[in-house]
Parts: sequence; C-alpha cells; structure tokens
Amino acid sequence: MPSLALDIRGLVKRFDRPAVDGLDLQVRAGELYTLLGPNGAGKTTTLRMVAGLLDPDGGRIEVCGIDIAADPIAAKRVVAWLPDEPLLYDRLTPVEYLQFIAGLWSVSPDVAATRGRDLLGLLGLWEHRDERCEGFSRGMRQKTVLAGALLREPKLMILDEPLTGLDAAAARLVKDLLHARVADGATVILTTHILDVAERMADRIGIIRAGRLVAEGTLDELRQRAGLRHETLEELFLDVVAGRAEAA
Amino acid sequence: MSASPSTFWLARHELMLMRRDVSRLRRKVVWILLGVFASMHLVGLAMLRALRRQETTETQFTMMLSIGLAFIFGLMLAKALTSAVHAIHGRRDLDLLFSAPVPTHRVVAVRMLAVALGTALPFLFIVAPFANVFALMGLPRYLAVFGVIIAFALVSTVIGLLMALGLLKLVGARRTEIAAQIIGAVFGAAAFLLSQARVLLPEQLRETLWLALFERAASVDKGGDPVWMWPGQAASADPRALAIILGGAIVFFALSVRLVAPAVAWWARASFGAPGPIVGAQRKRAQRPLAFQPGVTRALFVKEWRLLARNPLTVFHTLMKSLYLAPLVVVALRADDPLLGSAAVAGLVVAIALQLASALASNTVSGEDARDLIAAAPVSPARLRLVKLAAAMTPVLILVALSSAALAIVSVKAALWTLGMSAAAAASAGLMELWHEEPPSRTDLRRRTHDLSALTFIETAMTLAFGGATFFAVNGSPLAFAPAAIAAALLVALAPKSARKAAA
Repeated sequence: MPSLALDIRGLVKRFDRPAVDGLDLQVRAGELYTLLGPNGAGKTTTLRMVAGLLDPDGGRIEVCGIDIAADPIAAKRVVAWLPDEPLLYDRLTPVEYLQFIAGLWSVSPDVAATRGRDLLGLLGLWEHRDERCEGFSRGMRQKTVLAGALLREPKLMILDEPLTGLDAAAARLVKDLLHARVADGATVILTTHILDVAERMADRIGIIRAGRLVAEGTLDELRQRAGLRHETLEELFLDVVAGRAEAA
Repeated sequence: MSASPSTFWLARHELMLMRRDVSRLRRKVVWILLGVFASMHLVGLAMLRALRRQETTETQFTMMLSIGLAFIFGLMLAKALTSAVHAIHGRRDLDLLFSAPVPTHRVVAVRMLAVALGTALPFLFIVAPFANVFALMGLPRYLAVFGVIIAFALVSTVIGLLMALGLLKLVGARRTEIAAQIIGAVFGAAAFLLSQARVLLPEQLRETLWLALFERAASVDKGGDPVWMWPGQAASADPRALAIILGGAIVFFALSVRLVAPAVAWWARASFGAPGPIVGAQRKRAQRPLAFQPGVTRALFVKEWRLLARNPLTVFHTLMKSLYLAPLVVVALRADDPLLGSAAVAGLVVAIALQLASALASNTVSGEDARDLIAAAPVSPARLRLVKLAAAMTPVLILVALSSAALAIVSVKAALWTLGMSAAAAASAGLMELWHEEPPSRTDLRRRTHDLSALTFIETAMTLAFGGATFFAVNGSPLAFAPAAIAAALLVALAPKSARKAAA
C-alpha cells in the first residue's frame, strides 16, 4: 500500500480568480487530516478536484498511488466524497439507496447485504429502512449518506463539513465511525469550521488561505512553529489566516 | 423614521428578478424564439387572407375571436394556478418580505402582479404576430387584443390564487404544488380537447352547433348582445366591451388581492419549511429482506425506473399525453381513406413519443438529484448518460411498439414510418436534453431552468414538425421534406459547437 493516501502537487484551479493557487498537500495513509481555512479559501474546490468532480487547470493529484488524470475511474473506486449537502434521492428508501450505491461501486451482493444490515442498525436507520428519505431529518439523511459511503469501504473518505446540522448524539456517532475507519487503515480528510472538532479529532491539521497551504502539522507542531503563544487552535487559526503567524 | 417601501419600489424589485431570469436565456435560444416570432407573422398573414377569401363577416370573426380567447383563458388559468402556488409556497423570500415593515397587502399585490405579468407574457408572444399583421393590413383596432390578454391575466391570477388557497386548505402545504400541477395539466388537456370539438363531435351535432352559431351571429347583427362575445368585441376595440373587461379586471384584481392578502400571508408563513410528503412512512408495509444484485447498469436502470415510477407528475403527464390521442383516433375511425386515418395516427404517435421521451429524459438526465454522487462514481460519464437515456426511452419504446403493432393491422407502411420517425423524434428529444444538461454547474443549472420555458416552445415546434413529417411521409407526399427540414434545422441550431464539430 502506498504511504501517501493523497499526494497533491502544484494544484491550480481558476474561476473568475484563482481558487486554488499552486497547492501542495500530502496526506499519509491511515491518518485523519483536517483541512481548515476561511470561507473562499479553496478547501471545497480542492476536495471536489480530488473526488473527480472538477478538472484542475494545472498540477497533479494522486489518490492511493493512482493519478486521477490518467485513470479517473480507478481513483473514484477508492474515494468516498461526502459534501455538506447530503447526496440523496428523496423518493428512494435507505435500502434502495444502498442497493444503488452497491451497484455503482460494484460491491458484491453478499458483502453489501451483510454490511448494509450492520450499518443500518449501527446508524439507527434499521426501523426506517423501507421509508422514503423525503421525510427524513437532516441528521437521518446525513446518516443514510454515511452508510452509503461506508458500505463500499473506501480507502480515502473526504467529508466537507460532516457535522453541520447534526445533534450531539449524531455528531458523536459520526466521529466514532470516522475514528473506526481510520483504525481500520483508511484515511479520512475533513473540512470543518468547528475548530474544537479539528482540535480533538485530527492527527494533522492543514490551514489553507487563498488557495495555498499556509500551515500544517499536529496541533503541538503548529503551536511550536507559531511561537507557543497560542492557547487554542482558534487563536492560532485566526493569526495564521490573518497573516500574523506563519506556521508552515 | 423612513416610510415603508412603495408599491412601485416593490414592483421594481420583482421586475428586476424577472429581467434577470430573461437575461439568463442562452443567446441561441433567444434567436430561435425571435425566428419563431417572425415566422408567426406569415401564419397571421395567411390567416387574414383566408378570412378575406371566405368573406367572413365581422360578427362571425368576433365570435371566432371570443371562442379563441376563451381557449386562451383556459390555458392562462392553468399557468396562473401553478404560478400562484409557486409564489406562495415555492419562493421563500416571502418570509423576508413579510418580516419587513411593509403592509402585507402591498407585498401580496406586487407578487400577484408579477404572476399576472408572467401569465400574460407567453400569450402576448403568441397573439402579437397576428395583431401586428392585422394592424399593418389596415386593421389597427385589433391591437386592443393586448388589453384583453392583460385583463384575462389579471382575472386568471385571482382565480389561480383563490384555487391555490383552496388547495392549501384541502391538501396542505406539502402536496399543494403537485396538486396544482395536476390541475393545471387537466386544464390544458381540457382546453386541447375543446379545441378539437369540431373533430370529436358527431357530424350531425357539429352541423347543428355550427348552424346555431350562425343564427346567433344573425341575431347579433339584428341588435343582440350576448355576454360571451364581449371578449371578442373588446379585442376588436369596441370601447364599451373593452372598458368593461379591462376596467372590471383591474377592479376585481385590486379588491380580491386586498381581501385575500391576510390569507396569503398566513399560508406563506405556514408553508415555510414544510418538508415533502412522507409517503413511505405513511404506507406501512411488510418489510422486505435486504437483497442486493450485482451490476452497474442494472443498478442505474433500477434506480431510474424507481424514481420515474414514484414521480406522480411524470406518471400523470404521461397519462394525460395519451388523452391527446383522442381527436386523431376519432379522425382515423371516421376517415373514408384508411391510409389518411393511419397517417394521422402515425403522426400523433410520433408527436407523443417525442413529448414523452423529452419528459422522461428530463427526469433521468436533468432531474438527477445526486449529481455529485453520480459524478464521483467509478463509471464513465458516457456510460452513465447512455444508461440514463436508455432508461428514459424504454417506456417510449413500449408505447411506440404497441402503437405500431396496432397500426400494422391497417397499414404496414404507416407502422414502419411510425417506428422510424418515433426513434428519430425520441433521439432528438434525448439529445436536446443532454445538450442542455451540461455543464452541470449550479449556475448553469439555474440558467437551464430559465431556458425551460423557451425550450418548451422549441420542443413544441419540433413535435409539430416530426408529427407533420410522419403524416405526409405515410401519405407519400413530398411535403414531408419541409417539416423534416424544420426539425433538423432546429436540432442543429440547438446543438452545442462541440456536437456540430463532431458531426462535421
């Protein structure tokens, strides 16, 4: 298995202005990496390019050793992308949704049935498995989508704001499941604006500003590089994005 | 303290939103619409010449005009109902406006004026070429038809608003939008069937009615004044009729909006954030075992068919479209020449195939709910598009195959033309859907939504062209080339540059 789950070199994406501007980012296999940055910093654009949803204007992305420009289908097989808005079909039931996901990612029927049953039970959706998703709360929708992602046991999970709108119990469940995936050897990359979550969950933290990585490391490493004057990640983050501290 | 915004200020805001919608239309679509608008002047000219050749009296023409305007009013009601529901339930900015220091009735009045304008515009577009031609040919008084259209738009908006409120009370906020679209489609189909009454009614009854109309025309000439002819008279610039219809509509609109404004505000607030209907939860059924099947194509097909079958509007529109078969089936049964009847049915089947293919492809391609999920799947985009189109085309294929089999009993030639032209028509509808689906960014999706009404016009023209080409082709007439060329030209005009380059 390659030591890097994600290897980004010189990534560029422009819309009206550069959204991602020569980004270099490496995430090791088996770690939980949190990407932070102010609004419009280029986090979601970067992750959408990793998921194969946007074509870069320049640079190179490798996922688990696969160049996504050379073999996008192979790259997509190992990645699960969970955006902030759950990608769900209102008129399908959770079971039908999982059947669809299993078909798209070619999960064998026996494996899918076992994992599907376990995931629906674990996420508290078993009782609702034959109800259409249109009446589900945001938390239930988020959990259904998470079940779909976990069903195919991806090597790299990318989550954009995964805890938005979840109650405390659902947020805790999602965090536990992500830790369990990391413990099983998968890699998780998530973006969040809740800095406490990043502080508690992440093995390493990257801070992105104006499409470039301006700080990276464990929380302790970030503090040391910034001169140990920051008590919390929030203080450090605000100084880094304001350009008052360079911790990279 | 500053005064609250005036009606004019609010109306300017609504107009700005409408103008933004129009400016999002693709330039190509605008040019096609302008082309259709210009060519409709030729139809108007042909109509005026036919009327003069047949020596139609003014009273007879006023009667025809009244009947035509009644038909337009039916269609306007359908549009006003769906727009009124959307204005209350669909656009979430009402909550913002009601929380602002502006009188409720003023907000509602401006919103309903916008609905009325949106209702009137497509019909002004249709009527304008005829009125222009009449004016240019020395009959400028017929420009008064614009006033009648505006009056009808105001009245249909109020009726639509009242029906929307009734629906909200009867079926609740969750189901009102679907119910309104179903009622709107029923109105549309009813208007179509009424327009085909001449074909549908038995010959004897038809002659009796025609005779009665002429007798009524004669009585009008002798000084009668039936109310149902006022719209026609108003459109002919009769000052009394025009004043009653336009003035009455304005007063009716103003009073009604003033009276129902509190109810509109209440429902807008009540329906804010109402989730979609909980269908599965309400239908308790035996829970099935968890069963998975292999195969990407199978998974895509099953998902698309499930979603199509569970979309009540698609199913309903599909059923309604089969109603449009009625007039031509009657023609086919009555025709002395079996080939003529078969040709009419063949043309209609092809037209329905195009419409149905377009509706279903729109559901599977543009209606994709989880665009990013599909894009992130390890399946090539070309295969995805192909499977989605194939899933949409399967019901069309079944309908066409059954119709062709029935037609083959009467004429094998008609059956073969039906099969071939239906395939071409359905493929064209599918291509139009694909071309206007990409690129799938959020901005372009929004623009596509605003292109839709314009595309509907073009799609209707394509439907008529394909249906007409089939009709003439089955009859062995070289006239088939004309509509076929129109269909091909429209398709080429809509094609993106990349597709044209690939074809070249």
